[in-house]
Amino acid sequence: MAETANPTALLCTHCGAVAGKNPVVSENNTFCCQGCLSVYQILNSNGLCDYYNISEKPGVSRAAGNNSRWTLEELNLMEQNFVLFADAERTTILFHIPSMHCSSCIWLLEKINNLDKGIVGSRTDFVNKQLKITYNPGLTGFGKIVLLLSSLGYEPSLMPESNQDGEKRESREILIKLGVAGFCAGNIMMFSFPQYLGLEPGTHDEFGRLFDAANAVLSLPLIFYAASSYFKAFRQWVTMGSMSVKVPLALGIGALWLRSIYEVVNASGPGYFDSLAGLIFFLLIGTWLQNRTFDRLRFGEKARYFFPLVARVKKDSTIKPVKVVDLKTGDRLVVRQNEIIPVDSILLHSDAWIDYAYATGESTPVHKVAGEVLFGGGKNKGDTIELEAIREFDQGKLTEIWKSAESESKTTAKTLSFEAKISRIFIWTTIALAVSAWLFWISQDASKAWFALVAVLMVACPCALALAPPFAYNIVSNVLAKAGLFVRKPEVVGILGDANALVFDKTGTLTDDAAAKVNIPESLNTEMLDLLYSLTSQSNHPYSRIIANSLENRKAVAIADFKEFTGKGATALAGDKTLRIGSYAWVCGKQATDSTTDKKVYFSINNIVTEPITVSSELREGVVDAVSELSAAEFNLVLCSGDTEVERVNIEKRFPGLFSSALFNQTPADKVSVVKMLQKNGTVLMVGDGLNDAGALNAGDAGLVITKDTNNFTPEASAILLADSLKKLPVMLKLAQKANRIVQETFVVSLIYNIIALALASTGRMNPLIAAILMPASSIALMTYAWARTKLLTQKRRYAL
Amino acid sequence: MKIVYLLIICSVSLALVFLGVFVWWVKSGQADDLETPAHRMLFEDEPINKTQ
Repeated sequence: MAETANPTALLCTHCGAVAGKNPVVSENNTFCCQGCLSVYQILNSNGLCDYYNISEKPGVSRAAGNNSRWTLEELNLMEQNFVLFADAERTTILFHIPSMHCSSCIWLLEKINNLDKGIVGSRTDFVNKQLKITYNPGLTGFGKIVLLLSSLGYEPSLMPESNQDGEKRESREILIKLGVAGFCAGNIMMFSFPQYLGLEPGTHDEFGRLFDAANAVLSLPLIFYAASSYFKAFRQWVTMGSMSVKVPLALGIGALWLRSIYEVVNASGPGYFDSLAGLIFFLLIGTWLQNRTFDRLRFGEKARYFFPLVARVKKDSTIKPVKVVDLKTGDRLVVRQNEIIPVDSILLHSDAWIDYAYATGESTPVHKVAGEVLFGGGKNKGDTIELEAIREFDQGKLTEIWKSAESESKTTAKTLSFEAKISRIFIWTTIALAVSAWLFWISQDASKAWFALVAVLMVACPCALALAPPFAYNIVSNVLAKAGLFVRKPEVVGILGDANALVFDKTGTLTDDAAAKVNIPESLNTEMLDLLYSLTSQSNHPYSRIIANSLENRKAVAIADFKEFTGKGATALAGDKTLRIGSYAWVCGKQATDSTTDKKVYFSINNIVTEPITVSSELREGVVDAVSELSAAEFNLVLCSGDTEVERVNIEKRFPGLFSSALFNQTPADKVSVVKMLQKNGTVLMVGDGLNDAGALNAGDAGLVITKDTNNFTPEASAILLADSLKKLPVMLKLAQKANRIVQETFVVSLIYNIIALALASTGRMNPLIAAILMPASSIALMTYAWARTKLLTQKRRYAL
Repeated sequence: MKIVYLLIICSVSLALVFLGVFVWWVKSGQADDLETPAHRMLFEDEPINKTQ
């Protein structure tokens, strides 16, 4: 009874969404849609209902319908992209499942063999959202498994995964290095114990020599294995001149080790193996922590994966799936609605509406007639079309654009970040100081000269410079990732903090095309609205759907003779009235004289045309607040849109005076030059939606891509912002600025320490032993400072995300 | 004091065993995913109730 009393409060048993006005009720459970019910039924009949006991309402909503557009045959063609291992009896495939989100998902996906007897077993990797399935190819097939997963709401991403084996090997190697360093450090400290307690047995003593020798032996795996990456950086510097903070670290480690070996060999002292081991151990911990944090998001994908992997080719009236790389010129392609045109081709018959937002930034589909050339990458927005390929896949126009964007990103020297500049100066100063101290003392006192050289390199090891920023940026980027902003590298946080200008793209960035807004003129009376509703609800055109959805609680009038003309409009009869809806040209029967008719929908009853209905894409939720907050924070905001000037009024109205300039009719190349202009006055952050502004994203100091799905990204993006998190952007930037402040603070403290320490060391007044203790102590202190400050910062309410 | 030699051999070889175990742990892939097993161990082996 309660169910009927308050139907909106009912939650779907499967996905937890509000079941709404028309809940689907089965037995004692309520579902929001038929899709959720069918998943429940599959699970129920296979005894898998524990799924619902592990997490609350764990399902993925099926309200959007089953969007697996591929047939079994097409899917089976894609198989080899996903196979890890295959023989006659078993095949192992690896999927990325974006919708995996809770314990129930793990449970169900690992019990998937209960639903398909051909599946031998499955394993999930929750952090990477991966699913590894082993199956018997004789009993089941790749396509079947994909369709099964899709039917359960776990549609795998059909973009091939980047090869992860390399990353895995690297992360294992660093762990082993860490283990070896820990082993050596622990044992070296044990052998140094007598020394710590002041029980120096004397270097000529039997045990003293033994302990020193043992330390020297233990230092070998430390230098030649655990610290090998530093020496590799050193080699690169020598051979290729690529300077990095690892270079003086390698010099310091090398000098310290050689000095220690020297002392032990000629029995002049115990060496500094304990400091050396501790230093390497801490450095590796830092690297490991850094690597772990960034496993969250992988940027392996390339833009070419935006293309469908299989195209439908029509031959002798049968349609066959063919891999896009195998497409030949002259092939006849069939492209359904919302599919992407794989290669440049000629439209064979009928009209087509193509969305080139990828390349031009214009959201309105372009009208094409038979015989015109359609470029690869465009999206078919109208009915199914037939094409004839005129180029092969690799030569597609967009592929070329993307290729050039990629090579450009490699050659463009990005401005060095603050810490990179500082550490570069620092590295050279240290080396120069060490050498000049050595040169100064060598003529007077040879032993003091070596003493000073080693002490300078040791005490001035810029570990603080190398470690403080990763700690601060890692913590901040973790917080940002939780809030929906994923950065490619932690250093991007530094760039975000430096940014003083933001360039916004309009289409798909500020606006949310999925939530377009309709403005129905008030001059339409109730009867007209009923007719409008009846007509638009019959049509499949996106504008019609939007209009029909906006007209709630209208009476549906019986209409007859409904006809839809792709690219023009629709017509129907309602009693004795002839209804027409569509473009100006179609409804009014004459050509438009100016551009004010763009983006307007015309409606006529018995050839009497009403005031036009405007359909404008809706701004994203919270975007106005975000932009005004950014403007208040004195960021220089610029709008770059591919849209026509018509939009200017809209922008001015919604963002009054917020943008320092708003530019329209901007081509991708114009956007790049705008970004480059602004870069003369500081750090520029380009905010876009992906392909249509790829060049500008690349040109900006950081390119921020706004997306609804973390799987759709471009290689140019240095950060990805989830659309829902756009309103948090101002706070995110503030947090990044604060992180930069903390990093700068640690630099100042480290600089003061270094000046004092270097002064003492270069004048030969510092014992290398003290230097060796001071150096790791100072870097640990600074690291802890950076860590604690950032941790505290991210917990402040002001920066709550 | 000769016992120190034996002690050093014992302690270093023990530590080497631990290092070996650590290396095996990493190489066998157990360190690759530290998150999922934490969920997996909480699942019941048999469904709690076969029919809802």
